[in-house]
Amino acid sequence: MPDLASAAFWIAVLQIIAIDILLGGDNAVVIALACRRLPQAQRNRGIFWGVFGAIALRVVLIYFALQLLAVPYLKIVGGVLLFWIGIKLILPEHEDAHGNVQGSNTLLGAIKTIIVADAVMSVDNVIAVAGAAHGSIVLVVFGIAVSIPIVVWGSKLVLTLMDRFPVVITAGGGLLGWIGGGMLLTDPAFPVPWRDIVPYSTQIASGVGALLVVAVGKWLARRQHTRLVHGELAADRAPPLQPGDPP
Amino acid sequence: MNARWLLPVDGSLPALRAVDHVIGEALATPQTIDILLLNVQHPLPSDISRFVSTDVVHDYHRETGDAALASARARLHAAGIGHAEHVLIGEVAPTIVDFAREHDCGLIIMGARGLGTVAGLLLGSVTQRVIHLTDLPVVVVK
Repeated sequence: MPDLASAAFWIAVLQIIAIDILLGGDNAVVIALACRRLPQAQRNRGIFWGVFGAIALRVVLIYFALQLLAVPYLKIVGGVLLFWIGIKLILPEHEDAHGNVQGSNTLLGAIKTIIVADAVMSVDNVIAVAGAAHGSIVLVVFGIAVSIPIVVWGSKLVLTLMDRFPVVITAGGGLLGWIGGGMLLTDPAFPVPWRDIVPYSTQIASGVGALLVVAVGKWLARRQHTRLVHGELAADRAPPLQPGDPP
Repeated sequence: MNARWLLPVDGSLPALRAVDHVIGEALATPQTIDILLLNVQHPLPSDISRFVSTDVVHDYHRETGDAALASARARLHAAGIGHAEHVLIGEVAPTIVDFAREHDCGLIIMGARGLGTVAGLLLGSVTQRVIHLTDLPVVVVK
């Protein structure tokens, strides 16, 4: 049983909830967007199976995640992956990086998009939760349990959150970097004395990880900025309306 | 050439008060003023957009942007004032400022704070950033 009175436990709980809102919520948004152009009946079916797949994959992946993280070097891989996931979160959408599934107005197209997204995003979500859980199976199961309602109902929440408080995304990226940095250091392959000699080594590694992710993400985002500004939505160049025009 | 005013809105109440202010000013002057109504959509994380086609993401932004413009559009229509509408994707404040420069606007009119009230209190609102970034005169409507 985890120590319910320890601050570390509750910090991990909060980190896991934050991760689930961002990564689980993003998963929900992808499902909703992929089904947008389907007729009503198909859309509901698409969303249902998309959500079902996202949850099923997470449940299956928890089991592997904990087993794998005990293997040497895999935490290093996981930590680096978390940096990458964090950077992807901070980077804004990019014209070239869009999925090339153009014809997703068919159910099949939507399903293809959703399967790929569910697979990738469930892995991201589980790695992040496993990193924040520090090997506690209770916390990992808790993390996945929390992500389920978020995948089901969270798309609106996440879209509103991102629209009104875009800084949440940057903070989330930083959090993933923080967890990734700490994860690197606790790899079994890491020499233990090294960790003991340097005081606060975990905090330092976490802090460096967070800074790295935010700095790289922001830097890459700035390089994209100019291009995005000119990305005016094509159909919006409405001619100026004259007084008396019909609404 | 007509005077051209940029009116960035996000559907919030302060933004609507800015719209009302513009209506009042536009009705009071004899000259015609080009009013550019603008909504800037924050981009989705690449985490989401890499799975979904550009069309769908743009559709989403267009729809959300349209909803944010709706109340301002209705008020301008009711007052019989013509305007143009634009929806852009990007970091909000710099995008507003760049748009104003590129479209030769002479004035930016906006609400004191938009939807992100809490974050605005802590980090400075979009309006504050626009004032900081632009060379143009900015009218802030409380």
